[in-house]
Amino acid sequence: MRNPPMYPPPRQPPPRREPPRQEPLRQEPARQEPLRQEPARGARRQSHPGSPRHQRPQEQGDRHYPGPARDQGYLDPPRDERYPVARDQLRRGPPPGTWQGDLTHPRLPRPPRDSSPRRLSATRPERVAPEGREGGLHVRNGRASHRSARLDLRSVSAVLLCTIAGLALVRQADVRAVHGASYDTSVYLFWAGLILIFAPAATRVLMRGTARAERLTLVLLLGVALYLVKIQGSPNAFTFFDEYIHLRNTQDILRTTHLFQYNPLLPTAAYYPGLAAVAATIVNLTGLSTFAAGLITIGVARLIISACFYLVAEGVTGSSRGAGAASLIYAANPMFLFWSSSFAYEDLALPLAAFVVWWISRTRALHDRLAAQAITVVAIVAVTVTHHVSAFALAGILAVLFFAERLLRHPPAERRYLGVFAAFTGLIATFWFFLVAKPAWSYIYGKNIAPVLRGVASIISGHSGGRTLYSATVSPPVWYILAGFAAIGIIMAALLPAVLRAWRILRSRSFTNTPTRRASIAVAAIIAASFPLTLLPRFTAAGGAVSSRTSEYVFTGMGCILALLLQEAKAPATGRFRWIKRLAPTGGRRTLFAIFLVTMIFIGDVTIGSSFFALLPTPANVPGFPPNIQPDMISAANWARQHLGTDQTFATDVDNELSLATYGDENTVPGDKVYPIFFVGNITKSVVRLIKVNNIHYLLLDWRATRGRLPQSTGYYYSQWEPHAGTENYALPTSYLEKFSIYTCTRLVYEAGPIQIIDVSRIEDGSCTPIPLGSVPPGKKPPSKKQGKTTARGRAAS
Amino acid sequence: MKSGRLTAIAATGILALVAVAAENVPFLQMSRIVLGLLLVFILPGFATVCVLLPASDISLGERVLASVGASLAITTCVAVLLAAMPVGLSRNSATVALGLGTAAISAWAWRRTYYEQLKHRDSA
Repeated sequence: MRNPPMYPPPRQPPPRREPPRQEPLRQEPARQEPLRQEPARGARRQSHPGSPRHQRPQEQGDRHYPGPARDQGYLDPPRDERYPVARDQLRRGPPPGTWQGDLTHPRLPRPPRDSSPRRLSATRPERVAPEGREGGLHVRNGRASHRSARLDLRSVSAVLLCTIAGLALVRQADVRAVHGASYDTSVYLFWAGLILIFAPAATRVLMRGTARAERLTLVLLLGVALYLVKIQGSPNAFTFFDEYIHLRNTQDILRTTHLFQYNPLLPTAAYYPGLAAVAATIVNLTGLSTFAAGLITIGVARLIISACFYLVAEGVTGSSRGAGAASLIYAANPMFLFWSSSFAYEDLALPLAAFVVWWISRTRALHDRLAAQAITVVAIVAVTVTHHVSAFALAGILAVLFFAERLLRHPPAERRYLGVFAAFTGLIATFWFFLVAKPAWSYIYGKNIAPVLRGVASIISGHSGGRTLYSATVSPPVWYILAGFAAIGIIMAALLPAVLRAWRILRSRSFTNTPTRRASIAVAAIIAASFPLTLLPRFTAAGGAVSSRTSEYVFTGMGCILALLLQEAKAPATGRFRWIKRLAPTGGRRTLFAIFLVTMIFIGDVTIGSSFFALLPTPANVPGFPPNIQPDMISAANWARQHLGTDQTFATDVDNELSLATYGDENTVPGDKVYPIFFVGNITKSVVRLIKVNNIHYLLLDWRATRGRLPQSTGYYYSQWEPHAGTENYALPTSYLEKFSIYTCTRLVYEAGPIQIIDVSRIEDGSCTPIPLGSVPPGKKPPSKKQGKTTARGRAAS
Repeated sequence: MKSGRLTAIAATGILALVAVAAENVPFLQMSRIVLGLLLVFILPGFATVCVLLPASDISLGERVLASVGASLAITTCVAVLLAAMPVGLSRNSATVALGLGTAAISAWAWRRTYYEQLKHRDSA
């Protein structure tokens, strides 16, 4: 080991400083392109490339100031844009870049201060900037930059007023429908309100001069307003089938404080308890009702997906206008208005997945990026325990993005980083799906994917014809059908040009098209290109729901890709199809055309996603069987919970099944298994066998089924496989329900209005063989018809 | 900016502790609702984001969005974890887990942000 010198070494002369580097920071060849594409406001136009001045070589002696060349070596991009323009106006004086130099040209406005972090990284140029900047550099004129920093409160207020007016019209339509006014009249009010909500927001978002912050505000406002449309339709309780499934989950967690209780409505849902756990936590912490907790949870999730999708789309399209257009198209997907607003697990999982994608893309370039990914891990786990398809979709998107970046030669460190999360998501989603949520496979594949695949194969092979579209118990008006076809036609017509434009961007080597953006565009194009395939299941008998639900995922890519068409093509119309390109509207006409098309897509997709007669709530006293849960059903369910106990096994119709499973905490047997019980005139051996096999203790009979008119929401009473399902005016013969009163071994325990609860536990346990009351052997006392009867008013102990 | 964030982090921790303390104290229902919703949708995520990103790497709006998203994710995981454990997901367990956890993370975030501020001041 060498000893340190006892004396300091003699002082060396300071090293000579190197002159500043003259080459640009970025080494990509595209960086050498001229930065300005449009002259700054108030400045003289640049010389044409063919003019003599442009051809004059730029030499050191030509400059009017000392120091390095202006286009080289300056780190601040606005100076790069400003000084060459100012060059012709400057006199000899202090060099630009100093405060004395700035005072010499007061006509030029200073670049607006941007509160967002503005760093021009030499190694990570993929940060997408707001409107007016692409790839971290200004490519538009200064006027656009000023606009981007300004939030026009008057415009936002005007759109807000239109939204409030639209919501008032929708509310009026709902109230009229509940009070029994003409549905046809009320529904036009509903549509007027819906258009009044969507069109003004779309107009302002798609306008060229709208600020980025304003676009984001309007996108959030639109998301919340469409959520309020759904809430106004059912302001007091959940009304959708899936909402009852998760209401039951939440109640089970609140009742038992533990997971994985049996859910009779959908056993798989109990194994994805994320949404129910959050709602139960809110109920525990705040004391709110489950309904209020669910509304708040889904509302916050709606805000998250609106904001995150906008920010992700901004990275894909490269501009806030494109992001706004993408958000509008996503909000126009068939499920966004009602389905995505319901208290269902995918409506929490999908926003969390969007948050994961945004958070990864936002933090992967940060200094503390590794620490920031702790949130990513937590969010991925949250998605996994909340919804199966969303977890697999997230894993798929991350994996495709990883491979796309690999093909496009993204920096290996960040690529691996993305790949790790793709693998992690796929692993834990698979683990949870196969090892924890064991009923999920039979539900996803057996009940959804396999029937759809069989149906599609049957149609393709010609063994069966396709399903008639818009075939409900009551046919909707013609315009309703035409709007749906028009929306699909617009999307299909725009899809090919949009994908071609995405392909051109992918092939472009411009510095604005960073590897990250190109990879994102590739992923979005792949997702969007799958849209025609997702339409195929609609032609099968069981595939309508599957096709509709895929739109929530497909429209993420679809929105980004179609939004690319909005951006002006900078190249002149050349090539083989230049005459078509010249027909395309430009400037303001293009914006108007885009507003019209997006609104048409929105209207058409609402018609696709919702039945015509499901847009408005139904009145309480409808003729025939009610389409949704009524107060007397809830009363019967509450009575059953209080007097019969929870977790009793019931067989009943589709509406009372929901009521019993949620308000009554009872276990209902699916109608597909037990509907034959209600479709014979006698208690036959098959009825007894069904009661025994399914361990049915009680039957809940709703005599409104004998009055005719099937519920329009489902088209059947007990099961989609029952006889006469889909026949509008089919009524059950009274003998089908009377048989439980004229046979022995049954006991009426509840009767209120049209609802009866029959105790058949003696048949179930085999202690009694049912025979008709008139055929009792002589010498035995026949059981009274009213034996054990308990009315709602006189509740005898059961 | 940094001092404002320190104040916000301190307020986060205090609110979380108030939410825990209010669990067994007769409290106004509205206050319980507000504290509960903050504890589910804002506070855990904000504290976590401040721990993980103490420097001003992301803007205020992005930080708010990250706070809400992270809070929802954290609440989901904590609730599922509690319900899967023998203790169960009850009012007490949820309040203690979320409240004390948020308070602890807030203290950590305050410390990290404070030293980050000192480091920047020294380097400047």
